[in-house]
Amino acid sequence: MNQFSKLMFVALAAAALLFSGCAKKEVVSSDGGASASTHAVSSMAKKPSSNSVYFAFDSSALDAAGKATLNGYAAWLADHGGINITVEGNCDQRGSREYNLALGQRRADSVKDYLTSHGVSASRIDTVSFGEERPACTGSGAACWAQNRHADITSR
Amino acid sequence: MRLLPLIILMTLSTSLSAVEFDVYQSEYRPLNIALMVDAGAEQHGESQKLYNVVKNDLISSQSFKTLDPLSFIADTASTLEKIDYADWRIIGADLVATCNLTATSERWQAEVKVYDPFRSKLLASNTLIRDSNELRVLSHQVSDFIYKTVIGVHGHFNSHILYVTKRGDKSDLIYMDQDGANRQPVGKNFTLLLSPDWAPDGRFVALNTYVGNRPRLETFDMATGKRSAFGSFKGLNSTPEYSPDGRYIAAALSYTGNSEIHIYDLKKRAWKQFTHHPGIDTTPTWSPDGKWIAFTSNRNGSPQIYRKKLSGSKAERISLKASYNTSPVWAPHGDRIAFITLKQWEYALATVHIDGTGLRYLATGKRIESPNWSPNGQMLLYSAENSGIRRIYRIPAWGGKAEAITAENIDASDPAWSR
Repeated sequence: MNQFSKLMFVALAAAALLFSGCAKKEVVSSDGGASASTHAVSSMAKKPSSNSVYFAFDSSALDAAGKATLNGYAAWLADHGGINITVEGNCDQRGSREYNLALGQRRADSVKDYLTSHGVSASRIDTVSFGEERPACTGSGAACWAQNRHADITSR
Repeated sequence: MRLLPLIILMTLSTSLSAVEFDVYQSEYRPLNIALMVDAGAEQHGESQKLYNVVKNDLISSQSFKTLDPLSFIADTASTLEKIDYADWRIIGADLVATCNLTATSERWQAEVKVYDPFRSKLLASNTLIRDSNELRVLSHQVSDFIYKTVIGVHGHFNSHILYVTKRGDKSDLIYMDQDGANRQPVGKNFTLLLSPDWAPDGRFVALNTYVGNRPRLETFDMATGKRSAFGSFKGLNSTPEYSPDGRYIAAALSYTGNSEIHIYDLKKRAWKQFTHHPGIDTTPTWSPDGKWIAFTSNRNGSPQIYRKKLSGSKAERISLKASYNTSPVWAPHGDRIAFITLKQWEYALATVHIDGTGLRYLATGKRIESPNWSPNGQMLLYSAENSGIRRIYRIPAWGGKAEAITAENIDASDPAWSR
């Protein structure tokens, strides 16, 4: 998965280069900024379909799926320099609420660290932890808890 | 080889269904006490009020059982005049407590005597005086006096409790006397409210709330309701706890890039970092002499309880058993630390000596959280979930029965006992 996502990233980057090459040509020939920017938009990275990454119990380690989502975000943020994000860390209801606040922060920080190591400026990323105070799923049981161990990326 | 996963599965399921905790029960049996209150005919209503408050206090401590007045041989008036010990031995009264309530101009006066019939001895007597609008306070003082005389420890009956009620997105801070009287919201409409902690003088409460989706630390003025932020850093601002002298507040902050314990000096209005470790450090609690801070840390992989000297020694691990130990609170007498421990997905309230010995499980419960000591170290509060609703419970620290002190249909969490 990791290898695959890296490949995808390279492919996307190559495509972007190709398009930007085309765009440059057009700028020269038509002398029209508008058409150039239209091309640029279509070549830009898309916002990933999910804005959540998930974690194991008492862990802030990113899994392959989480990294794939974040690779998408790194590309999208690279193309959208004006957008800043907040990463919200959350936990399931098991364990101490106070400890879970710290764990949620660590999950948010873990996402932030991954994005900054993939080229996103740290100044664009804010973090906050809600611990187990704002569960996405309010029930009990493994399926519900799994949904609640997440970090969400929101734009601001 | 094929059998192996099956064997693991079987052992897992059997161990999950087993009872995990051997809950501690002390050998202590409550003392039988004959309680009598006398007052002039005009004060009959008030004397009954005082009697009920004292009776409830003594029973709630689980150190006493009040004897039914119908079983008394001697009447109140004659016992107040001169006690006949034999009359009380015969009905099995370990103790006799009398209170003569009189009203002077604008004041209540309670003359209290505590006897031991089996040693034919007056143990202690005292005269307590309060303003005419402070009958409840006076009643709790009577309880305190009886308790101190018999148990040898200060009573906690004039103390107060705070807790949090969550209604949808908003949380209220609720105040009550330790016996549930005068229950009322003192702070309303907080966006999340966690870890309230009472200053030693009772005038302020430190707490963690959110403003505009950002956590921050605030002090809350009990008299005026005024909120003042004293910690609003990037990242975590959580778990405030006052030092025993009330000058400092320890808390967990993460602006350094990692959750560490920091100490706020209320006088200098300045923060100082206390722990320096890449693991999570949170929920600080002070030793009663103010020389140590115990806290939760996952520095060795899983959350455990450590303590570290203020003067800067290496952190020593306190919790030795179980893979998940959190929420330490140092006992007011310093001998034990209460905390929450996990075994096979069952949580328990436990206490342990500072050196990690003498582990006692006191109570188990779903989502059992937030232990907090009574000011005399005799009782513990905690929250646990029952039928989907969190309630506050009270249990003797020496092992006893857990009693709910909040309603079964209203959310309640984060108990804080006045010091």
